[in-house]
This record gives sequence, structure tokens and C-alpha cells, in this order.
Amino acid sequence: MIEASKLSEQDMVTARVFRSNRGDLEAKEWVAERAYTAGLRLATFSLGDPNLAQDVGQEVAIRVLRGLPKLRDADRFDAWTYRICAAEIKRAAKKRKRHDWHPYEDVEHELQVEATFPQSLGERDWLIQALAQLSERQRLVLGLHFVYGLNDKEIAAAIRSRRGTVRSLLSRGLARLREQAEADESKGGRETAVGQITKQEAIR
Amino acid sequence: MRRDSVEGALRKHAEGIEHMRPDRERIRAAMAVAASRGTAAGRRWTPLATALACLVLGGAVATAAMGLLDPALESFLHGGKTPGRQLSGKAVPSWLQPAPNYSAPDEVSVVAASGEERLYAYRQRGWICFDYGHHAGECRKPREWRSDLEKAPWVLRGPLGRSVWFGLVDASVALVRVEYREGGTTDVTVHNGGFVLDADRTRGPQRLVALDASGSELISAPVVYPSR
Repeated sequence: MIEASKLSEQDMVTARVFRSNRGDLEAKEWVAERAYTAGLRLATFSLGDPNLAQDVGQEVAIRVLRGLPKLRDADRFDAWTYRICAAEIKRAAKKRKRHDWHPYEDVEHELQVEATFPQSLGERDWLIQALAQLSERQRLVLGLHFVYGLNDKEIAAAIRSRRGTVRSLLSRGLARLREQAEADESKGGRETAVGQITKQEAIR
Repeated sequence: MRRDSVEGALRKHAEGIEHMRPDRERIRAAMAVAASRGTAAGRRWTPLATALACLVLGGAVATAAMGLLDPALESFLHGGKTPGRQLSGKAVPSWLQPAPNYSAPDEVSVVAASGEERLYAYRQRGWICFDYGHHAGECRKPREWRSDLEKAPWVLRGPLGRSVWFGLVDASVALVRVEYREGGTTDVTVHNGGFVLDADRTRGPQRLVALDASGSELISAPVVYPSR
């Protein structure tokens, strides 16, 4: 028998997916937690709203739990979960846009956002808006790189993609953000303007 | 934002996120919702997931009898679907229909009903809302509802309209009864963790009582009509 400590993380994931499908409640809970955490972190990174990210996390966990019996290759669990995360984040962003959501209406919510993010209001707003301009896959790869601290090789393994593709997604995503920053910088004071507008809206 | 500081800003942005974890209660609520929405395979998990959700709630309260909620209500408080019968189109009350400058709720359901009176449930921007027929409504944070249901087996609102009471109850309550001054009672059963009790005012409602499945009294309240 192989000792648990000698199993790779991927083996552990695969084993738990199998066990979960066989009805092991502990494994099922582990699967739900892994999916929820991925959704929560990646959504907070992309959307900048911890409350909305909780909804995404929950929806990801539900979709994963429901779809797990149909997952043919347990090795692909993480890649599959990340794809669901990306889709749910996109859906949440659309829904937020449709409802004309504004984070500064709710003081309690805003305090929670402030507690989650260390950077300034303007910087955070700028990032969220800039990240929204990227493709789903670019955002996912950036999230895995910055939130999970994975390098291109690890991301490629996690999302079952080629290393070259991941490198290209990372570098193009970053390049696009830099271009955006440069454009805003040349316009002058965009960062401040964003912060001022949103604060004024909040006062109204 | 400076061009050369983009990576730094992304790192800073990710700092607070990398240690975020959902709490156990939320995970188990997701499991319960997945089981209730599930496919044939998922439905096999329903009894286990429901038991789990009950266990979670049981751990959160001081006594075993208080604080356990109906699974549908529990799931709703944790971000799941609205409890009861979902409404669509014209069945949605007019004040919850989409209108300019108003973000209508995605889902509206009827938790419980009696005659023409309805207890509606919906979610709006993270708030959990209940409308008591066309009389009144209130939106509060999920933890506020939960906290009230941990303190007492029911959250009672009324009398509204002719003589109607609306309420949410924990899982220990099976029946809500109104006792009349002239004798006799009217009983209503609990649906999806809520009830609507349309009492006969002409008989002089005197006392409201919540009963468990064995008929034991859990809590009661005298009927007091607001003075005009």
C-alpha cells in the first residue's frame, strides 16, 4: 500500500474524486471545499467583490458536485473546476452589469471589501475594470498565477493546457494591462478620477 | 496606475485573497443545495445532505430543539433557491416586477399561503426579503434572520390586513394555532419554514400558539391589535 505522504497532490485529488463518487461523505465534502475555494478566490480576484465571490464559490461547488459523477477522467478534476469557475465568474459579472450594481451603496459591504483588499480604492477600481477587458482564459491564468502562486508549468498542468499557451496567455494578459495603464497614464489622473466618481456616487 | 506597477498592483490585489476559505457551514449548505437540485445520482445524496445541514445547524445553537431550520429555508439563507413555489411572469406581484430604475429580484417564490394571502420570498443584493402579502415586507441580512430564529422558534409578524399573521419558524414547529375567545381554534401547517394564518376576527382571536409534531406547545403570544 502506498503511504498517503508519498502520493502526489494530483494523486490525492484523483483518489478523493473517486471516493466521492463512490459515496464517501468526507471525500465529497473535500471536493466541495476545493471547488468552493477556487471559485471564491478566483472570483474575488476578477470581480473585486467578496460577497459576489461567495455566490460564485457556492455555484461552482454545486455545479461540481452535480457534475462529478459524469466526469470521465478524475485526473482532470482541477482543470474542469477551473473552467466552471471561469464560466461562473463571467456569468456573475454579466449579472452585476445587468443590475447596475454599485458597490458603494452598502456601507457594511464596502467595509468588507476594504478589509479584503490592501490597496487603495482607485487602484482596486482600476484593476477590476482592466481585468474585465481581458479574456476569460487570460483572467483565469492571471488568477492562478497571482492568487495561487503557480508558475506557467504548474498552471499548464492544472488547466490541462500547453505550457507555451499558458505563457502566451500570461504575457498577453499582462501586456494588455500595461497598455491600459499607459493609456490611462497618458490621459492623466484616470486613477483619481475613478475614485472620485465612485465616492460621489456613494454620497448620492 | 503606472505602467511599471501593474504586476505589483496585481500581487497586492491577490494578497488578501490567497488565504480566503469558505466556512464549513457554507460548504455543507452548497452540498445540501446540490443534492436538492440534483440529478438522479445527486438525489441519492439528499437524505445525507439534509442530515448534514441539520447537523451544522444543530452545532450552531445551544439546544437541539432550537435553531434547526427547514432545508429549503436553510438553503435560501445560504444563497440557494428561494423556498416554496417559484413564480414567473404575471404571477410575480406587481411591486416586484421589473421597472425603470429598479432592479427586480431574479427569483420570487411563495413560501406559504392561506386564501388570498401569500408569504413571498426573494433575494435582493445579498438581503433576504419576505413580503407579507401586499401589506408589508422586510429585508434583512441572512445572519439576522438566523439569529432571530435561534432566539425563538418563530419570527411572528401581524396582525396585518383583516387579521392575518405571517411568520417563519424553525424545524421544531409543525403547526401554528390561533385560539378564539369564544372557544375553538384555527390551525395552519408550516410550509417551507413559513406560515400564513388568516384568523376569523369576528370570533375574537385571543392567543397564537406554535406546536411541535407531537402537539406540545413550544411558544405562544397574546393577540394584541394596534390601537387606532
